[in-house]
Amino acid sequence: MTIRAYLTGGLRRNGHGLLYVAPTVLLLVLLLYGPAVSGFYQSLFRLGGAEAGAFVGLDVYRTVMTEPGFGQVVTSTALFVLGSVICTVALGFAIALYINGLDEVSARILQIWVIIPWAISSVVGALLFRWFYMSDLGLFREMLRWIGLPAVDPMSSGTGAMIALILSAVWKKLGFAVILLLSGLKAIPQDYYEAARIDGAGALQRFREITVPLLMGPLLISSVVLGIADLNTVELPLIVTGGGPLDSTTTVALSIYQKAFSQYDLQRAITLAIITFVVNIILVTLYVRSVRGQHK
Amino acid sequence: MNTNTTLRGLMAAVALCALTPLALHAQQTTIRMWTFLNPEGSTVREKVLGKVIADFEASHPGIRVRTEQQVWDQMTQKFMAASGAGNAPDVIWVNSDLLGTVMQTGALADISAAFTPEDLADLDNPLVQAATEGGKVYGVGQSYMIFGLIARKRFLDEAGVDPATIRTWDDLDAAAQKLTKGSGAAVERWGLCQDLGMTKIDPGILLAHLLTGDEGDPAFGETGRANWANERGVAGIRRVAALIDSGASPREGLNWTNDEMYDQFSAGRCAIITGASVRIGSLQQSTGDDDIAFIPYPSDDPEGPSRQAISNWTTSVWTGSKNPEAAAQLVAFMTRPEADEIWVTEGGTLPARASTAEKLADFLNQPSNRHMLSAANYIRSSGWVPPFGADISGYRDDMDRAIQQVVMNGADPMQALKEAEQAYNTRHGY
Repeated sequence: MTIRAYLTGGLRRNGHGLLYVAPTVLLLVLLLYGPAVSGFYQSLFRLGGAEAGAFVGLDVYRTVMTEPGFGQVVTSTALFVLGSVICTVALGFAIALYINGLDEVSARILQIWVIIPWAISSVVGALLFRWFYMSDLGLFREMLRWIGLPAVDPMSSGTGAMIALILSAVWKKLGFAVILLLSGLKAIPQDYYEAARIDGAGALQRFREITVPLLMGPLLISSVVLGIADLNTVELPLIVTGGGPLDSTTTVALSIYQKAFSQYDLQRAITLAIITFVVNIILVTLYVRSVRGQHK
Repeated sequence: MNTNTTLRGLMAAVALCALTPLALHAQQTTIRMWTFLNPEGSTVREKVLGKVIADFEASHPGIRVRTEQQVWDQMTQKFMAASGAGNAPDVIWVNSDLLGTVMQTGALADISAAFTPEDLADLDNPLVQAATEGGKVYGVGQSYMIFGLIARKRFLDEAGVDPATIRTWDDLDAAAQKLTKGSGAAVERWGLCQDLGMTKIDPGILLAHLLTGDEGDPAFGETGRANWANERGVAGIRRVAALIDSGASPREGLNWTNDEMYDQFSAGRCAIITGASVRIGSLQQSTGDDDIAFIPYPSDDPEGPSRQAISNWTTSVWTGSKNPEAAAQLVAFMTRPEADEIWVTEGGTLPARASTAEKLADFLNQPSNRHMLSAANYIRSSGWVPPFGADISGYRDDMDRAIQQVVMNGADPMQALKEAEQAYNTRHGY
């Protein structure tokens, strides 16, 4: 079969489908792939302001990745993404299990309760946390006082600021994880549990042998989706910690923002953005594979 | 009248109704302006901007101004990106730190035709000179400010501190200690608050040390190259660190933006802050206290203050504007004598024109306005403007990073300054 015949045949068979996806593909090309390709092209030239200068090839990638602050930014990003994903999924899993055992009305009320932070604007949520942690005026200090602990300013140390940032991210995205994992739990046929119970399996055994393996798909999907979201979030680190103290909470996304809009260093900003784009593609591939795996 | 005639009449009426707004729209010129102030906002400067724009539209019936509010510390950078992409606004307020960089990109139009020679002479000052090259004027200044110490007189009086006696760094240290009420977690009020975070920050004590006595060894070279790793820088960092270690300055300030520091001042948690003179009008409003003093940064010499950065917003026209003349008219209108007077009397900013300063001498001498006179004198005696065309963007972040290294990690001040200097110079390609 010639390529032309193959394409014509394919078009005839999938014409309708292609028509349906065409607007989305067009939007993606215009708003995502186009700018990404253009950004990569521009990153190969020396940028003076927004104007392209001499061709420098991939040199700038090597420069950016070997600069003193790059390792710190990568470490902070990894800590933030891993910390918030692990905490969100673990806590979301526990809450989903709890809700799954409740009656319908209580389960619905609790679901609404946990989804509210996810529905709140990110900027509003981040500002709430900024003020919550504010050392002398914030509620955090008052809460410590109520329980008889000494006043601690989480923002005055790198570790404290990172924990504060992770907690903010967990608060924001917990509802999403709960809903996703709960729908996974609901999809597990009750027959499996009954059969296991008849065979004498205890609660822990049922959890280990049925719940966890059958929930692996939703667990993986929620981890990847949350990981992508945390990797790309700017507003949370920008508002909650400002990237400080001492860049200890400066993530890659915030670093791109700072380079572009605080330091007006578009060259490094674009380069970092392209590197992040590649990492995103890897994560999306993981996501697609886990979705496919779940459907098989 | 038959049906056809009625229908024709109706159709004509509908067509007329549809076309009238289009025709009106065609006559109307809309000027897009980026500024960090919201003309419908409630602060004193926002109210003045709203009034000036309304006056401009009333006196120029064919021109409408559409203000698009931006975040102040990103607005100029966004403008440069928008200019490169071909969709920048007609009028832009350029941050003086970035004026040289913007001018080098060729994004600002010559607006000298909108001003008479008398106007330009009246507006003449180092920051207007920084926007002027070969007779071409690329912008005129507004919202003039200098950074210094802002103090609640009431708190100083209570502690028996006379602001006029804060003339040396040692005087400032002593005053900050005296003004601090409580200690540790139970501190009620800090003597001196500083914004030492990484975003939205003002220059402070370290820059004052670096600029003072830097003749022959400038803190910023002609291109803007940093030269901070020296004894002056070390003294500046040591002073900031000592204030924090003694408890007179909050350690929390290492993570504050300037707005958070101003909020703390408004809440009565700081007796003195390091801030911008232009904010005093808003602070009088938010504290309900007119008696707020502006004190120049002291120095080691009791006879004169430290040098400090002057800053302003240069209002300019984008070279890609489709309505350059109307845009230039707006810029000229915003700085005409009548507008300048309103900016000073109602907006609390320093006069842009020499004639305004002369005309409002009595107003500036009133007790609640003496801070403006003090700031104006400080600008004249010790104001510092970046070298012409120099790119000094981001220096505030780098300096604060050095301070954080010393205070939080116990780093050697000289080493921290070397690293900050290197990071800044590498980023700028110096």
